[in-house]
Amino acid sequence: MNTNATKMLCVLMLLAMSLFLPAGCNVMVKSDMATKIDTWAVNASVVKAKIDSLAEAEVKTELAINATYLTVYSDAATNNLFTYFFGDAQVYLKSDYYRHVVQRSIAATSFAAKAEAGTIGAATAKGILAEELLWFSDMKKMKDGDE
Amino acid sequence: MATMTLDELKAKVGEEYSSWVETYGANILTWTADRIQTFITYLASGDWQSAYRLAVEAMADDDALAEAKKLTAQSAADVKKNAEAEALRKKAQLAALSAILTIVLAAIGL
Repeated sequence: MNTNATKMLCVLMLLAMSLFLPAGCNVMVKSDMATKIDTWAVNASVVKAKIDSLAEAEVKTELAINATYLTVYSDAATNNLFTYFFGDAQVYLKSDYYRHVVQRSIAATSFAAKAEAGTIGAATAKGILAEELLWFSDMKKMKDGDE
Repeated sequence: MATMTLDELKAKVGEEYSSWVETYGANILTWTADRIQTFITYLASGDWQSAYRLAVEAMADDDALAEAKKLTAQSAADVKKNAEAEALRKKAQLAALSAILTIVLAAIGL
């Protein structure tokens, strides 16, 4: 094999390696967040089954718990970019995925506070809780690659 | 309550956030002038998180539930988009590896 062929092989090998560098948000949700999402999804399915029978105080509690989880997830989504997205941090920060995760976290915190203060109705609080549970389900799908 | 129009608000927040005006604008225009100015200032400085927090905090029941539903729909779309991108990436990887293998085999004379 001549020198040019060797150089070409080196370039091709580098190209092959680059193909396996982390790409997209799937990497993030398959990382250390996976365990947490699993836990949330399990909890969510349990709560979803009895959401209609939850008392107002329980709905408030669940909304507060979700807000905490979502804040943790949102913070991790922000921090993880330094681990997985350092090459494209600016692209990631402007991505729909990142923005939607942060929006969900902010909204959950605000809605939990509204429920606690009684500035939203009980039916609305249950509806919001149901939507948050669906979100957990979607995140689990993304993590599991079911979709 | 401020006396601003939706178009004026849209002009102040810029094109990047014009869709926010479409979604939250009617509610925002019921705010005080100071609060609207704070919202605009947040967006102008790139702090869209604080601007969004202001918008969400001001939502009444119907708007809050609609926002929760919108966020769920957005994440469902993200999951779908991510799955499609992942499938495309895997397909590209296989195609590239196949091409590389062909070239390598040719280079070593097999």
